[in-house]
Amino acid sequence: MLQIKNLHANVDGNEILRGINLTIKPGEVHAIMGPNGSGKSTLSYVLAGKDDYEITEGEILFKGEDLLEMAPDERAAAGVFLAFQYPIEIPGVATMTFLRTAMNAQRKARGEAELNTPDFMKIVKQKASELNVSPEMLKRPLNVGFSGGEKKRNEIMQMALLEPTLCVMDETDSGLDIDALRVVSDGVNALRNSERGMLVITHYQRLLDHIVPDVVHVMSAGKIVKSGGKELALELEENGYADFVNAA
Amino acid sequence: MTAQPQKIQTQAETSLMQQFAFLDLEPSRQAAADRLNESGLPHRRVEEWKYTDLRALLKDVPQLASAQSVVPTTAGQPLVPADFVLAVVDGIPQDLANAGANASDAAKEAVSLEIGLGDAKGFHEKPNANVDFNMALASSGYVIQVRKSAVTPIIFIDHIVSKADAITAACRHSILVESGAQAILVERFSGPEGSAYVASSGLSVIVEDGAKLTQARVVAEGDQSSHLATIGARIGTDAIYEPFVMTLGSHLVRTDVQITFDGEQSHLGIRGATLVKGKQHTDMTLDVDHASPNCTSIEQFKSVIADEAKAVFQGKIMVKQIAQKTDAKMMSQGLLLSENGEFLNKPELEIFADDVVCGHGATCGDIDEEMLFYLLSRGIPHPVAEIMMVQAFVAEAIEDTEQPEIIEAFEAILADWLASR
Ligand SMILES: Nc1ncnc2c1ncn2[C@@H]1O[C@H](COP(=O)(O)OP(=O)(O)OP(=O)(O)O)[C@@H](O)[C@H]1O
Ligand SMILES: [Mg+2]
Repeated sequence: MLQIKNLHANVDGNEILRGINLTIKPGEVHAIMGPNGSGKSTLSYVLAGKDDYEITEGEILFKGEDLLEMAPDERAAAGVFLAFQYPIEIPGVATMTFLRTAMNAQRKARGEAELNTPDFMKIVKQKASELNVSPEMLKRPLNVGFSGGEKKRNEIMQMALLEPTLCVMDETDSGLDIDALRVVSDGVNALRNSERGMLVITHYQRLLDHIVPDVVHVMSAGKIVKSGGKELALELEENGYADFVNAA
Repeated sequence: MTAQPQKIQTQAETSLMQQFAFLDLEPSRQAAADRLNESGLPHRRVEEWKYTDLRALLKDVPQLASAQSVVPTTAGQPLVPADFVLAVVDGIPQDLANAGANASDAAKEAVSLEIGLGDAKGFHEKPNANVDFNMALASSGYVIQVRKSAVTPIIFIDHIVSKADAITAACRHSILVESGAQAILVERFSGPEGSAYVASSGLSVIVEDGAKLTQARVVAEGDQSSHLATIGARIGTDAIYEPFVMTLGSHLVRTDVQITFDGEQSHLGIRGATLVKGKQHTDMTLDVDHASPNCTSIEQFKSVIADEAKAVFQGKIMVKQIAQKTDAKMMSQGLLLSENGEFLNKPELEIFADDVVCGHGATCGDIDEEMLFYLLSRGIPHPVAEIMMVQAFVAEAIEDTEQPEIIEAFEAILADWLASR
């Protein structure tokens, strides 16, 4: 469903991604690990369509279509979702208004009918309670005053509500306490199915105990320098990145 | 002897002077007219008018509408459900017979309404050209008096310009909220598109001890008009004054607000939202005088500027030496939706007391790209996301309004404005 071929991306003239190749098939969960600054978030932003990046080479196909040609909202409607590493606070935008606008915009883009208020309320309440997002949080402006962990739970709740086909999660585990990690992992696992692909960016093997990946990649200096099974994460936990970073 | 250089009058000045000469003004109006005659319209070399060169911007002062020329008209649908619905047509206050048709007995008991010029006690101490313009031209208005009662009457004044031909409409109201009384004053200003009419509006406000006045004003004049407004208010002891001015219509808007604290333990919360597009020019000039100790004030203004429009905010807070324990916070923010828009922000604090908490902040920027991207990344299309961001920006000022009906009305106006842009 996702094919990234020889992707090069610059920010302000600095090459951050330097030839990424990655293919995710429906139903697969891929994890990306790698040192700080290696370009993991950059890759996730490029997938979501942030326009700070100049793509100098390569292509991204999503369900056979040229993802790079699509605007961010079109990508979302097509099924791409990014759970941000640092979800931004948006004062003045009510969480519920935001959720409803997003859900209905995507439905509209796909030619589906908009949700009516009772249905919308029902589904939000259900997903919120599954992810321990309190009704009080839903009453606040988007992410405003949320703790780090609350922001991450809110991201995954949005993912559960929007039901994307490609879930990109950027360090969703950082900032989560042990219980929240389980709650979030359960939420993510509940979304795993044969049609949905996932890209999980993390620094910690711990998350991968809960969300067991099919493939683990190591990213260093803008490239994927090693790919393997879930045992690769254990190896990294033991030995660090030194071997791979030097290899790159 | 050196010859005085001959002042060249603009079309607007000539027309104004001719009308003054023709009107038979009583002394206080004549004094204002004389001052204007003497100084001419203010221009950019006059400090308070630096960013709004009225002499250059005001092209004409059309014929002043009189009671004889006005076709009686009733108010439109009030912005919020009101006890009293009043109409001012072409500057002329309309008959009061049906004004309180919806009012409860208690509200009728609390409010007295008359047509005339109330005494200008609450009006500006420091005359300026905008005040003089109104003083000279306005011949009547509503005189509103609210007595202490168990209810909070809502009074709606609809200012309508009815004529398609350009006219000058001038009126001045006064509202006195007596000790312990509460009232809500809602005003709307509107007129025909395409007409270069001039609307001059004066409002004198007195909030007595223990009283509270909430005011919501919407300036939605026709696109070629000029709206020159002045509000002068005095706040007693333990009193609250909470005005909100939403400005979106008109080619040219200048609103001068002067507020003086006469007593202690009082609060002022003045807020505003300005929404401008095209070649509009709006100016909110605020002068708050903390002349008494132990008072608090919040001044919060949001300006959204599209196209080549220009918004000016001048906010002056004076804290007199006697006004110890003053807490004043002013914030003025501009959101530019285009590269050609302009936001001119001039906050001024003059503090002569030493034990005070005062601050002001001013920001100006575009829509936050990171926030916008977050919304886009969830599938919200760009135009909708932009609207959400503007609403969020303005909401901060609107939200603090106590009455949900007023918030709703403001939000609806904002949504319409955004949709029509
Ligand atoms: N706007 C920018 N301007 C300049 N450099 C940038 C910009 N954005 C990212 N970079 C640089 O790109 C590199 C990759 O950043 P990125 O955020 O993708 O790393 P990461 O792998 O996600 O790191 P971490 O594990 O710390 O989250 C870093 O060196 C960073 O400083
Ligand atoms: Mg990162």
